[in-house]
This record gives sequence, C-alpha cells and structure tokens, in this order.
Amino acid sequence: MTGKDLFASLNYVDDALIEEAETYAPARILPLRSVRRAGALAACICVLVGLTAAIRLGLFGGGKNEAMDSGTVMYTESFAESEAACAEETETEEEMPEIETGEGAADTEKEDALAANTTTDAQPTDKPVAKEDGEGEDAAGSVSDVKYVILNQAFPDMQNDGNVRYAEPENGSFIMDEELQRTVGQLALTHMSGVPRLLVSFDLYNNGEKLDTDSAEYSEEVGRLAQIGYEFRSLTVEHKDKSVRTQPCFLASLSQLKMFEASEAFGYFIYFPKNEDGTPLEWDDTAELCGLPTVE
Amino acid sequence: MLNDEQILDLYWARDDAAIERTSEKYGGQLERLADRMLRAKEDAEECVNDTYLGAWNSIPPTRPVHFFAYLAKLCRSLICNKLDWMNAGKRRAELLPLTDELAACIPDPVSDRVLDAKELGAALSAFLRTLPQESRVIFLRRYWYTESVKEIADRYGIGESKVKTTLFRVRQKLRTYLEKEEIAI
Repeated sequence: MTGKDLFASLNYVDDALIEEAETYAPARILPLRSVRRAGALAACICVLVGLTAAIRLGLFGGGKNEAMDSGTVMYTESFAESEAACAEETETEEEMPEIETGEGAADTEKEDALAANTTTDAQPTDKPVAKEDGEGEDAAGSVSDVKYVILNQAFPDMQNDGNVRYAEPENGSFIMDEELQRTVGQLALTHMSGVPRLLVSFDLYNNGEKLDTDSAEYSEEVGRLAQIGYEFRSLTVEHKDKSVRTQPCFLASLSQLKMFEASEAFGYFIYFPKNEDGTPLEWDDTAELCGLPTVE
Repeated sequence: MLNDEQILDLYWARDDAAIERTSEKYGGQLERLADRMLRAKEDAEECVNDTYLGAWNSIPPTRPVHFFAYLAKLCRSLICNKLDWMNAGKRRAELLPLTDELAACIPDPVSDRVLDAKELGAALSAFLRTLPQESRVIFLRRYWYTESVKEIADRYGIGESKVKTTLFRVRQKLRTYLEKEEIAI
C-alpha cells in the first residue's frame, strides 16, 4: 500500500462529503486582513456620519453666521429630538403626543437646549410666536395646539414665561418652527403616503426685519415661489374678536419643504398657519389664488 | 441557470443542451480541479470534456443525488488515469507531496485485511464522518481537490498554520483509524 493508492481511493469517498467540501462556508469566511479593512472602513464612515450630523446640527461654531448656511434648513436640536420621538411613536403605533405647554415643561426644554449649546451672548428677539392653548386636530399639517417651547438651537433664547422666541432667519435661509419640524420628521419616518403635502405659511424677513404680507416684496416672493411650483392661496385667518384677514398659504411636499428654495434676498420662518385661537387653518380650494401674474 | 434536477432532466430526455447547461454551471469548477492536478491547460480541457461525455453516457440510467460530486468524481478519475498514462507508472511531481503526506497514514502493510480502492473509499468515508466538519472539509480540499495549504487558508479565512495543524492531526487520526480497523491495501 502506498500513499498513491490511498490518494486514488479517495475517489470513492461519498458524494455527499465531496459536495460538502465544495459548498462549505464557515462563519468566519473573511480573512483577518479583510475584517480589519472592513472595520477601518466602518469606523471612517461612522466618523463622517457623525461629523456631518454635528455640522448640520450646528454643534461646531455655534455662531449665528456659521450655523445657517445660505439656502439650507437650519435643523435644530429639537428637530433631532422630535425625529427620535417620532421613531418611538412609530414603533408603538401611538398618536403623536403633544408637547407640554406649561411653564415648567418649557423651562425644562429651555435648560436642555441651553445645556446642549448655548450662545450666551445671543440677543433676544421680539419675534415669534408662541401660541397659547388651543384645540388640537389630527389632520396632517394641523397637528395640535403645540406650543413653541423648543427653540432654535443656534439661537436659544427663551423668556421666563415659557414662550419661545426664534431668531430671525438670515437671508437665504429658512427655519421651520418646532411643530412643523415634528410633523416633517414623523412623515419622513412613517412614509405616510396619504399626506403628500402640508399646508404652511411663512413670515418673510429681509436682513432680520420682518416684511408685511401686504408688502410688495412679500407679494413678489410669493409670485416667485408660485412660479416654481408652490401652490398659494389666500386663506382667511380669524382673530379672537372674530375679525378676519387673509394670509398667503401654500401646499408643500416634504421634499419641497426640506429643500425649500429660499431666495438669497430673504429669510423665511415657515409654520402651520393658525387662527388666533390656535386652531389650524384649513385648505380651501375655492380660496383666491395668489402669487400668479394678473391677466390684463 | 438551471438547477441540478432540471439539468438531469435534460440528460434523461437526451437533450444536447444538457452538456451546455452542465458546462455553464460546473465547467469552471471542473476546469480548476483539472488544472490543479494536471498543470496543463489542454490536458485539463480534454479531461473536462471527457467528463461531460462520461456523464452523457452514464445518465441515464444513473440519476445522481449529488450532481456536482458525481461530475467531479468522473473528472478526478479521468485525471488520475491521465496522470498514470502521462507518467507511465511514475508519480507525477506535483502530486508527490500529497501522496507522501498520505503515505504517513498507512499502517503496517502486513495485514490480514486487504481492501480494494472502493472498499477503502467507503472506510475513508466512515472515518471522515467521525471528524468535525471543518477538519473534514480541510482534509478533502487538500487531498481530494488537491488545493494548496495557502488556497485552503484563503478559502476559509484561517491561517496556514491552522490548516497544516489540522491536516497533521487528521492524518494521525486516519493512521490510528486504519490501524484499529486493521485495514491495508
């Protein structure tokens, strides 16, 4: 008997064993070198993702001019938090909870925001728009009587009464209020196909100064946006004394909101339009179109 | 790409496409096996083509359960015959290390029990089934598929030293097994 004989007799080994040797794939199939390379690559990706998130959240710099790039969304910490909250809500299939409106809650939010990234020299502004309690609705685009208690991360500034003040959006940038951010975040996570567009409105700023909705600049800007696809109508806003006024409002898809085509000449503060009692406006197909050129 | 059963159906239907489909699915693996053992491209191609012919002639009546293993055995058998013919009784240099390694497994040739190759193959199958799967496939990749230690290490993502150690231990166990079974050729 020789080694050659033994080698030849291997040809009579069971077919199943031959096939097993051909198809066997151990769990640790990757060579150690490949694993190390993959690990290094994964670490690089994590660092890049982290840096990107940090930059978008404005964690670097924190200054007003650094935080808001021209034509981009200024994401706030509250936006990130609301996305996480929405993810949890999606898992539990619960309704989106409302934000607490009490002063205590507001103070807590304020402290968190300030702890996260405070610019102590941020100047208070006389802008925004904290709402008092109102009736909530579950329709998309009219989430609830959310009080604007979470503030823009780059410019934290809250008053003792719990109301939130947003900084004026710089030219070429836009800010979505917290309620709108929550909704956008939730829709992006849940892929709700039934809510393709949101009913929103905006305040327009030029070099930090709010422009009146009746101003020529505001009208021209509505016209520009209408021409690039945003559908505007003049909706009626009801005051507490039951008097009314009209306000240009528009429908926007998620992508239109996220990549809002801000003009370099203006800053935008976008929000869900509401009556003074906090109830959301409703879209009215019969309302007067606005922003379209007048036919002579 | 057809599955094995569909290809076998072609053989049983005597459809010429059976050869083409077989080549398409397993041609690469068979050519690599022949290349490794013969080290000559033309000879390897000839063996692979003879494998297809052998399959065509034997299916039907045979209907192998493990189609690739069936083809690979046909191919390996043809390769061994080719090597014998080419070397006119001398062992081929490339296979010397393999046969020398296996020679270490052979117990005392003086034995009451002498088996032919087929019986020894069955005994080897029984022995291999006693091994852990990893050891078994490493042994077969080395001595059945004639892969180098480095090729096996790369294939399974392990070190060459582990492959060598595994092979050494399996050979030791095989020798013990053959001694215990009082098997000689």
